[in-house]
Amino acid sequence: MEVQGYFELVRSHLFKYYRERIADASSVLKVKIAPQEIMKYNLPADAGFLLSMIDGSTSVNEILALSGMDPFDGARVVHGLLEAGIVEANP
Amino acid sequence: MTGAEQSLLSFLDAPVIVGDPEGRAVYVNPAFQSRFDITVEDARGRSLAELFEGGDREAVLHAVAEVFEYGESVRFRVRERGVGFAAVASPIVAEDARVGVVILLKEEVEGIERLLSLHREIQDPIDELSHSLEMLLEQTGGRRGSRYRTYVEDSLRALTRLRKWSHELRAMLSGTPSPILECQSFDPAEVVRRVAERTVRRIGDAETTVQLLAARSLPAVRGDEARLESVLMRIAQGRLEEDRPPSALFIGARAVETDTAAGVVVSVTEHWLDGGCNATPSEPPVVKESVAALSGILHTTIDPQLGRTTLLRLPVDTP
Repeated sequence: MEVQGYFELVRSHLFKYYRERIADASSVLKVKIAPQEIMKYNLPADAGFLLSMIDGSTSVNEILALSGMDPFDGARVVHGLLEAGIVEANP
Repeated sequence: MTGAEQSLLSFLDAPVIVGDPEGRAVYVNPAFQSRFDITVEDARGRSLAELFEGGDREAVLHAVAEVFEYGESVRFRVRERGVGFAAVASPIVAEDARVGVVILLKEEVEGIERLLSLHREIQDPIDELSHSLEMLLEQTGGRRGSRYRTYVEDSLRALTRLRKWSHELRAMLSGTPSPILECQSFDPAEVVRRVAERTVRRIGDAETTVQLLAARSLPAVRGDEARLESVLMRIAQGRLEEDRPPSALFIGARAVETDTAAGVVVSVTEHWLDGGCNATPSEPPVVKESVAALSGILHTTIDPQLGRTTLLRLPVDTP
């Protein structure tokens, strides 16, 4: 349980970090690359799932809420997509 | 029943009845005869339920039927001339290997009677409150009423929990376990979401931010969801009322799996702007009891830099 406790503590700090990097939660996500290029990234299933929800008009918060995912996992995936340059956030 | 056995029972101060496999009385001890004003001769051959008055007959009938069906002891209550008795009906094996029943009655302590009477009194205001809140809820349909609607819905949920505790209290006072609460299971993600929403509303303008960290649904855990909600609210509220409230509070739940068992870890995690906290919270006994009743494990981890987290590990309900 002590290990799980540390896991939760680190998880909460990472969540805060991801949310800060994503910046404005009301900003709209847009896919930056062509569909055929996405295949090259060999994305994990949860990233592919979130990517499929990005339509250029739905905000980060709405996508995370609609996905039904754990907010930590959702924020981690969106942060990863932004870092990899696959998506961009527009205010 | 042997003469020696009858002789032993005749010395008991508590009323005892012995029934045959058909549910008819074969023996009542002297204590039963004097308290219930009946002789062995009058009682013998009569249905066990017939030895009691009014509504108690149904309780006896039900208990005896359960003893015969499941072969396990059943607890119930009866009253005779204003005196309450806690009764236990147990199976006994007769000489021909058929199962009979023995009922032992123990005079109620006055305090329990008083508690039961108070419990009955509590039901009326609960029903009235429930009715009034339902009426109020109907008046909060428009946009302007949405804030009040949330309060009314919270109150109705609180009443539902109150009813559950009341039901459990009644079951405890009656000496019977509460089967409804024991065998139900629920999604902990729902509970965690409600606790986060309630905490946000309670905080109001305070500087602590509250974050929910749970997926929309999680594997079901066994037990009473009202119990988990109360425990989490107590923990969250306790943290916010400390001398140094946290800058951020995370209320979360996630599924975990080890080599031996699957579970759900529910957590209340705190951050402070100027580092962590060194104080180990002493959880009130009611929190520990409730976690134990959910078959859970409670643990708090503190790190001077990272913060503090309290975990409740609950076993997943396996069909």
